[in-house]
Amino acid sequence: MTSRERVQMALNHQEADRVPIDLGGLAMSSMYIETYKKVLDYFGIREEIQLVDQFQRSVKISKKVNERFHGDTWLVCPKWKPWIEVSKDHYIDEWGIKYFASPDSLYWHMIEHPLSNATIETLDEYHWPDPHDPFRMEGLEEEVKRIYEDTDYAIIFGGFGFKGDLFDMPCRLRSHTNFYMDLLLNEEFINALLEKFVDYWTSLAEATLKPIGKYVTAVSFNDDMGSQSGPLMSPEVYRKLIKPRQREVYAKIRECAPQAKLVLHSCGSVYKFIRDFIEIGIDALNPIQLTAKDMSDTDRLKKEFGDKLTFWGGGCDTHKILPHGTVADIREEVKRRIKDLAPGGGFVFTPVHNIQPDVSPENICALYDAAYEFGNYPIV
Amino acid sequence: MLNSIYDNVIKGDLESVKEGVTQALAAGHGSSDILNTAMIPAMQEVGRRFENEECYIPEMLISARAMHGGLEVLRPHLAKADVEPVGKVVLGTVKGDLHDIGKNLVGMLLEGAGFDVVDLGVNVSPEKFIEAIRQHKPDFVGLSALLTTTIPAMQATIDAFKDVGVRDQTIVMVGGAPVNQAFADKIGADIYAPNAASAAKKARAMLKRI
Repeated sequence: MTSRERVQMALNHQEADRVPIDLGGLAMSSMYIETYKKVLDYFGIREEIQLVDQFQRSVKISKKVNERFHGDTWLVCPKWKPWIEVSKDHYIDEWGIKYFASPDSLYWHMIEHPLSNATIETLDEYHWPDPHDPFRMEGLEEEVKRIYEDTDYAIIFGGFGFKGDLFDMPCRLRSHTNFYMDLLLNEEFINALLEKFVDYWTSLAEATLKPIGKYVTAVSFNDDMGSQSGPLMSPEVYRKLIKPRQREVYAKIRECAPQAKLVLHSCGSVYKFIRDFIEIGIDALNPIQLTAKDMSDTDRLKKEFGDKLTFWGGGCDTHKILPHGTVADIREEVKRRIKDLAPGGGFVFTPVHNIQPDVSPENICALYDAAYEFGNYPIV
Repeated sequence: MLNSIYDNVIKGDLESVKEGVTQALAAGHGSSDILNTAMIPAMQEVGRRFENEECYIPEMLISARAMHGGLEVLRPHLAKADVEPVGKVVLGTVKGDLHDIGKNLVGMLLEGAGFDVVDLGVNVSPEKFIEAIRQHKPDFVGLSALLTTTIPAMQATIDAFKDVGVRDQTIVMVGGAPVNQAFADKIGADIYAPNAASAAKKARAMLKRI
């Protein structure tokens, strides 16, 4: 059985030969660059490292590393414009968001949001990135065709060049605090801003996904809507303001790649939104953030939603077990999650998020080796 | 009159809170009375609702904003009447970590609970915390971190407090997604709170015990 068939079967809620493994098929199922360097050293592999996401500093997983870990997926992503350094440790992206990173920090900190002072009157002055910029498609068709013909990976379209979010990205443009307050105090502004985002993401799908849609097994996009302890907004606010726009964008994505399944990445405690996700056409949810509220009981999640939703992730806790556990702890966790989530298909194995530099190469081997070992159907 | 201030803080109606506080002062209500019988209980109720998932971060933010607006009107009157804040807190996200939404919420809820809050921002070195302890003499120091890779900096910060002899001068609170009670105990923190509302509640309870 090929990787592509294995992932397709999982997404169709069928048991393949084994549970498919995703390493780097999404922008959030990869490794942080320092982690990846350690893994390459561990195996004595020399290769040029390519970032797939500048914000998260996660990498493109090479074929060699994917083979070692029995990975079944391959991410293809429209090109994104690298950030421009505006002064020491300060960068600006194509949206006009300014970032800071001190030399010893792992991540970027947003310090300027282009719409933080915008009003409904000034919203039109904002200069949107151009979804039709031919730069975004450079080399994409050739790459997809090559991966499709020369390998049997399941091709996942998405990543940093196609985020598709109607909550997270608007927050970044507006600043989180302002956007959160707008949800309750400034509905007119929210509606105007989100309509523009719908236009942007649907145009981007049209420009970048449509030409290659037929090669794609799944399309992934993001919208982080959960915190550690609960949803980031009330289900009522979500259903009124965010969900209708997601529905519109996801419908366009489906139109651009009719045979592809839709994978939504939404971190944190999103239990209260899962029914809504299914209703607006989401086929698979990434991840299950196992330490977040209402997300730890994978047996319950599978029973409640498993007939309609594929779980793409939740294969191992990344807060405690993956960085701090022993090899035995990791094996036990992976076995448990596979037992809960894999029966009947509908599960793609990946942990919770990009693997951080506090995880040892030994633990990373234990993680994917356990998935390979315990993922054989029928699950026992 | 105080009831409507209470209701409007919960609703997050900034203008009505400011107006209500102004009117209550004009009607002869004491500043301390307005703070302690209307505004602080309102934020406590918002915290309670947040913990029970009856409201969410957006609702909490607009309430905190209304509270803050009301406090601005009230503050000169509190100073005139020599009303002291219930306590002082120094807050910051530890070195190497740049996340601040959770920390900011904790600051807002502590302010809503009557504390004077000094926010040191993100990527705060142990030295900067120590300097702030010496300068502000806070009852509490709150350390925040989001990442598994940065929570070790909490331990390093507490160790640095011990090294220079300021650890016993303040109560150390910790919080953030990868932090839990066991970790807080291990690194020698005094309080762990799983969310902003609980941080404010625990800080007040701790002060009552002292």
